[in-house]
Amino acid sequence: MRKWLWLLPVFLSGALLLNLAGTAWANGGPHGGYTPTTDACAGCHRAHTAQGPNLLTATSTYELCMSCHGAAGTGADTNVADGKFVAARSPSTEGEANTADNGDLLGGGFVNYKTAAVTSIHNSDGTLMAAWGFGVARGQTANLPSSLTCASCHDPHGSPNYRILREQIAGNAVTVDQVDEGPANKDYDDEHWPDNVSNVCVACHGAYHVTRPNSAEDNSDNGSGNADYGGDISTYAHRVGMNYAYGGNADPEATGYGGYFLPLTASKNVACQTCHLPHGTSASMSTLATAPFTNDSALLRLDNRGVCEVCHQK
Amino acid sequence: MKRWMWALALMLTWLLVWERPRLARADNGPHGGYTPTTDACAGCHRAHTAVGPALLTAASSTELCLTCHGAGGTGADTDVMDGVYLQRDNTVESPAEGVVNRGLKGGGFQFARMDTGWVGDATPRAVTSAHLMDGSTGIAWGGGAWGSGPGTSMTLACTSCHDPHGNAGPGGTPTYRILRPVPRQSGATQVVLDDETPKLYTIAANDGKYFGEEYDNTLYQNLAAWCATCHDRYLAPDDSGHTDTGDPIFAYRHISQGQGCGCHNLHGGPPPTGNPEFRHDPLSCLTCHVAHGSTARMSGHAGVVPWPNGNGAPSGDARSALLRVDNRGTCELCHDK
Repeated sequence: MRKWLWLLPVFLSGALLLNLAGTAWANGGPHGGYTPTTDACAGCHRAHTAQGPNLLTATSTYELCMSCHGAAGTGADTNVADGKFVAARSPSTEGEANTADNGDLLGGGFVNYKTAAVTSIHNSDGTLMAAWGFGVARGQTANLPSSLTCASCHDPHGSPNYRILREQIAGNAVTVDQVDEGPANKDYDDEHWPDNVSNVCVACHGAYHVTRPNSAEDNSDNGSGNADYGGDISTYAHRVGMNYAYGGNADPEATGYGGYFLPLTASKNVACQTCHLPHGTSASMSTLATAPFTNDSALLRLDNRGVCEVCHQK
Repeated sequence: MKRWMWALALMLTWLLVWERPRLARADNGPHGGYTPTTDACAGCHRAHTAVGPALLTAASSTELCLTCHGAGGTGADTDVMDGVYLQRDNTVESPAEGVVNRGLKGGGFQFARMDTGWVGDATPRAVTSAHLMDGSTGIAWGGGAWGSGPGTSMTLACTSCHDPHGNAGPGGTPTYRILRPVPRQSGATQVVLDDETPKLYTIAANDGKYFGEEYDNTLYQNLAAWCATCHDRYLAPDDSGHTDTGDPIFAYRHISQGQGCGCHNLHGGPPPTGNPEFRHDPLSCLTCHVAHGSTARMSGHAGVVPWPNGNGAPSGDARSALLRVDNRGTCELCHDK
């Protein structure tokens, strides 16, 4: 074997090792990328003096997460309680290059959002079991396999998914590609979403994942389970996953309407998160927007039906 | 008498004289197996000229132990201060009871040869944590009843755990490492650890890696119970990680005895996670900790873990808690997160 051929496997092995290590660290903070002698476990767990299940240092998963990410936390700049990115909270500089100090988090907030009290949230304190459209028709709920906590959607030990979203949620496989991940590139107040960002929602709200073209007019039975209609053709539903221009709409991300904007995916597609905030919203609903099945703000990004009007501009 | 008969008589005599003491020396050295006319007492005691309590030839029991087992001792191959097995006494054991110059299973009290950094470096280093052994007083964390606080105050010397006279088991049977079934001041119910045969004092790994050391299953299980004679509330059976004990300090605990609940998949159950190389079945205190002392280093989160009494000091490396690997390597090597 020629001399340079000996170098090839060495180079490839090195590249593999370095690449693996790099990928693992994409999650940041104590969330993933562990070496064999990591100290990170001790950030959240105690072997003998734990105060919560799973050997947590706090009494619950929610309390533990909030010890860093809550309003009074100092372990992370992302204050998910108030929906704010506060650069001075932690020594970490992750996200600071691309995120405005005191900027509003992409996911909204669990207690406040845009300085107003939230009106609807994904309640992640471990008490919520029911999920809309989880194996049942839209407008109906079914219980999740376990109650909802932060760790139901996020894997505190890291994940190859965007925002350490779990690879398995409620028993369903989830893939949400990393787009802006990496300590230097994270952007917490401006979306850089992959086109499959809706997948995290689909895991629990599968019936709402309608991708069929012309879904507002066509809910016919396709004879093979209607996966493109969330498996539920009992009603009509808005479509997701299509380009914003479908239907001749204005660009809600760049053009907006009346000073209001909505985020799109990398390919300018509409995702669940275009209209809904994953954590919680302070949007207010009045008169017609409080009709049955819309009896709360449903984590919408804008008051009433602003999310409709910014695109459709009727 | 024919010649062969003389030879037979000689052989029988040899068996009687030599084989009986060898069997009696199952606890090793001067530690047990005494005949009515033993000379062993004089190895450690003086009837009229003792310089220490209990008629010892040294000022304290620990000093006496170290005359043989210390760094400068020549009476035993086990140098517990340097945490290394040597060939320095007058006995050549067969089979060998350790690999010369390899680390002792228990680590060391002053130095140890442990690759706690998992980097292939087992050069001797000063320990960062060790069990007290000089007769001073400390807290046995988790000692005492539920709700009784962080632990119990104890004075600890070598002889708190080890019985120098051996034969410590029921009916005078030898015990593993001449460990007392009821450690002094523990006030516990006895836990008898059967002796191992043959003895092996050094770790299995030839590269100084202490994590993954194998023990006999029964011994392993019983060792956890034995540790808990002082550290009562650390004895945690299956499901302890999900079950609130009601104790304000030791509420949820990592399993320290048993086979695990399967929920974290080290012992089966979906999805498959964990590192099969270090799958422990069963699991024991010694899975993660050494008995004498460790050189493990602690930094970051691992160096600032409060002690069970809430104190933050000492911190850093001194918080190593006799762990086998730096930081939380003992977690990661199993759980592979």
